[in-house]
Amino acid sequence: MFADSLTLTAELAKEPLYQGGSAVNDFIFEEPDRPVTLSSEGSEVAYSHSGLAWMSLPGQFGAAGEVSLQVEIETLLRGIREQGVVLGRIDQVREYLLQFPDLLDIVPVVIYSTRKHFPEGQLTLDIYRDPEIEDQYLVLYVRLAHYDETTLDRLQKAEAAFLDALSDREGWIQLTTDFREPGGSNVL
Amino acid sequence: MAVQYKNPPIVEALCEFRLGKDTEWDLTIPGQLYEKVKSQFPLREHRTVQVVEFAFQPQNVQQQIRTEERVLLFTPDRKALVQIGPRLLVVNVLKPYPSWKGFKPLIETAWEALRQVVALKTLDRIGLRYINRVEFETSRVDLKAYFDFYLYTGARLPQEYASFVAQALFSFAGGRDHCLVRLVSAESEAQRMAVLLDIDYHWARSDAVAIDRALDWVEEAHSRVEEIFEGCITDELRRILNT
Repeated sequence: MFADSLTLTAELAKEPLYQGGSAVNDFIFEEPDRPVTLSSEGSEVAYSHSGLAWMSLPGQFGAAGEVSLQVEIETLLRGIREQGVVLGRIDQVREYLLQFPDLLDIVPVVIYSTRKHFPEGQLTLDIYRDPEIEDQYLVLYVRLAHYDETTLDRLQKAEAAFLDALSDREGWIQLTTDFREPGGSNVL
Repeated sequence: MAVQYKNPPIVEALCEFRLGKDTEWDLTIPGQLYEKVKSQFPLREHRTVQVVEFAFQPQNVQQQIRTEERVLLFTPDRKALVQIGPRLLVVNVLKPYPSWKGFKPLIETAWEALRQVVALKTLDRIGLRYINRVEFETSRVDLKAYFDFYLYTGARLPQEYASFVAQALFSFAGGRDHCLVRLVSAESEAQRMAVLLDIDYHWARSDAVAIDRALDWVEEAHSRVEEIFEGCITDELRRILNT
């Protein structure tokens, strides 16, 4: 099932859904005339000594080979916001991702899958704290103008795309709904 | 930073070693490294990261996106970690920054452990990077009041940004080293403005320094980063950082 998440990730990279701007053309090479060769079998694979400028790829999740957790998180949050996802308590979301960076590659998959099943919904990424057992985790809320009998079924289908891949992570992200209207009050 | 601030803005510092492709690497190395450093970094995890590469062919350039497995070794408080990937070693420390006196020994530990388990031949890159986050209590800020490195826009352009990036690559040590400095807007709570000042001091070319002198270079890089940071900020920001 882990392969499913990779498939989704690859799909993500191909589709423009998560790209707020241009893609590969926006990469900046600081020394295009002197690439570092990584392999050579009919072609050369190269990367910049300075890495790829992380802010030069707007909206793309995960800068290439990024080694800074803060920068990776910032890029992720920016990409999430550019996709119209509402960020709840952003400082706490950032802290959680910093504590559990193994979620960084799966959060886009969760959003992608949820958006696929709820194209009309408002998505809100926030943190949930359980005061009774001092537990906390990320939560992605789906908020709809109208809830019906298909809502829970769609939630389950969206969740099925990433649940197995999530099972071996240290951190957790829960997909759910709080039955609120987009930006509004509780509909129940 | 040499100047001690009451509220230092450093949210992450890292030291990165990228080994040359002629250095043999196999899947047992992360485990061997873990054995060497587990007294300090006992929490072992792994994650998948995306790596983008470019294939230069005679007629075109092709983008390749692949995934790479990294092993992450955390300290018990999860405030420092070692990342190990194929021919890659990174030592990160998170907020609160433990000072150079606390950070450098972690770099030394990881580097020495690497040298014990890998026959190093060449190094492609060493980098020392500091990421600072400054958050203001208002949503509109005149950056030049706080930074001596910022994005200038003329009077005929809108003075309000949705987001921005100011970036420059500076040359040091006669071209041996480069420092990429970026000032970028960051996501923040509503009604607040935040920026990241990212200072990435690194080798400009492969094998810039002999492997045996790698840690000397790191010490020198730290001095340069301190100078660059101080060169990027104004007295007004210093005052805030000391409040």
